[in-house]
Amino acid sequence: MRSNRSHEPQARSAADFDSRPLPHQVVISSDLSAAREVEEEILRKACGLGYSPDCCFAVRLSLEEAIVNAHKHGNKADPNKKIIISHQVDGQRVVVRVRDEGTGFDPGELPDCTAPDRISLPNGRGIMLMCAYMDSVCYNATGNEVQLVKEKC
Amino acid sequence: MSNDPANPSARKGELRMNVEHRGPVAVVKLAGSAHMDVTSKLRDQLVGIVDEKTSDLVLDLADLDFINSVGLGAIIAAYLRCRRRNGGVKVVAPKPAIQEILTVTKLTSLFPVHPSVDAALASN
Repeated sequence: MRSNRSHEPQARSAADFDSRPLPHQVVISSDLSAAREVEEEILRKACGLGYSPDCCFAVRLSLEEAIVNAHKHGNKADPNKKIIISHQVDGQRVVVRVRDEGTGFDPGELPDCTAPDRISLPNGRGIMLMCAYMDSVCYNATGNEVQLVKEKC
Repeated sequence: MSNDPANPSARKGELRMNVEHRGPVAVVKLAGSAHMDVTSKLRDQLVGIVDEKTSDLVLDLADLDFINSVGLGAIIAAYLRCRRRNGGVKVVAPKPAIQEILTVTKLTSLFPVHPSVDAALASN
């Protein structure tokens, strides 16, 4: 199967980050089981609005990558820290923001995980997959909150 | 994570694993979904299989519905263990969505994809 998805890291700059509140916000402990429940709720809404299986797969994959990054890299897997997940799902698009309590990072500094000297490293593919499967991926200025947008398809 | 892909009591979507040894090769069938709350355990299990007694892993992904980057990292960790023993990892019959993830990440350069377990076992 030929893929037409881009593999280039293309997270947009902080200027594209929309900081207006989204209608639904959940605050959970930095715990992946708790995060799964939020993920399932968002996916239920998308499926209920007729998003295609491919579109729901893309949202699920990107949401998992964002949450794992928040838990593992942002919060250093500290269960005393929080993950804040905000979302809006309607007939046009899914918008999700995932924020952690870490110090943030610069997404522009990420190396190409598909380069020959990095291809066999076990980590570092999360943001690349988000960029490949979402219509828009951008971080706030601090780098501790990512916004994912997927148009209905 | 269940060890029996045929277990009817397994929760829908739960990751199931079945391991069968064929000579020096371990054939590992993954079924269901490798979600974020089970992928760390998947890494331990795959690495454990390699450390136990094999240098070659055949991963049957025909019934795998979902995997994230941590799950891919689990397969890479097993691959690196196999490489220490001059072995490797072969992938069998991934669904289109899983194949696309392997293609986007260029991991098909590490894991050759085969149409069946028998074809994987017969290949060099």
